[in-house]
Amino acid sequence: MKTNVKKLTRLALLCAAAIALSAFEGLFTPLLPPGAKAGLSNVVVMLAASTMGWLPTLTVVLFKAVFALLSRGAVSAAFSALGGLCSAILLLFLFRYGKLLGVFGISLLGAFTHSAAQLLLSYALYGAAIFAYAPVFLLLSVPSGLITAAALRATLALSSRRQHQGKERKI
Amino acid sequence: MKRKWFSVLDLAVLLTVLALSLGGFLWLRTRERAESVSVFCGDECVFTLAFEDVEEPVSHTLQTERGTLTLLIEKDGVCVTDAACPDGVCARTGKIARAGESIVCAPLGVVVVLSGDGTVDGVTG
Repeated sequence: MKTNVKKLTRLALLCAAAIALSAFEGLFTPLLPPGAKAGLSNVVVMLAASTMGWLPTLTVVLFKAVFALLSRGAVSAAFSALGGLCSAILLLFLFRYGKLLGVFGISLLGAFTHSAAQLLLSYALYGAAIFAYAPVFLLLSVPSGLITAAALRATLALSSRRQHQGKERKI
Repeated sequence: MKRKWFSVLDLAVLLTVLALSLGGFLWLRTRERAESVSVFCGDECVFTLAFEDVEEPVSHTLQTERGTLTLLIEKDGVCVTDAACPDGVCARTGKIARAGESIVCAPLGVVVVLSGDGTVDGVTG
C-alpha cells in the first residue's frame, strides 16, 4: 500500500509538471514558426517512459490532452492526444528494446513521431496542402529532441543523487 | 540508467531526419508560383480566385460558425490579417505565394490553399 501511494504521488507530480511545462512553453510559442511548439512537456513523458512504465506514461499524455482541451479547445486536444500517444508508445518501446540507441536518439525519434502523427492528423482534417509544413516540423524535432534529452539526463542525475543522499542519511 | 547519451545509431537517426527535412525544403523551393487561391471552410470550398484577376489587394472576411477570419489577397500571394482564434497561428504564418503552400486555422476550420495548375479563371462560390 505504501508503495502504491508513493507511485501515485509521483504520477500526480509528473502530471502537474507536464501541465505546468505546457503552459510555460505557451509563453514563447509566438517566437516559433506557426503550429510549432518547443515540446518541453515531453520531458515529463520521457521521464515517465524511462522510469515508470506504460500506465503512468499514458496517464501523463492523457492529462496533457485534457489540459489542451480546457485551454485551447477540442482540435488542440486531438492533436495533443494523438501526437502524445504515438510518441509515448514509441518511447516506451525504445526504452525497453532499443538497446543500441542513446538518450538523444530516443528523444529525437519521440519528437519526430510526435510531429509526424500530428501531420497525418492534419492531412486527414485539411488535406495534402498541410505537407508544406512538414520540413519545418521535421527540422524542429532536432532541437526539441536535444533539449528534451538534456533535460531528462539532468533530471535523472539529480534524482539519482538525491536517492543516494537519502540512503546515506538512513545509514 | 546505463544508457549512453549519444550513440552511433543516434547519429544515423539525426542525419536521416536532417536529410528528410532538407529534401522537403528543396522540394518546396522548386514549386512554381501559385496561380490561384482556394479557401475552404470545413469540407466546403468557399471561394477560389485566380491571382491574375487581382488588380488591387483585396480584403475578404469569412464568417464561420466559430468566428471571423480576414484574408488579404494580393497579386503575388495571400495572408491572414486577422482571425478570431485563440492561438493566432494562421495570422503568424505570413504571406504564402508558392503552389502547394497553405494556411490552416484549425480552431475556425479554415484552410487557404494555393495551387499552380492554372485551371481557375475567376471567382466561384
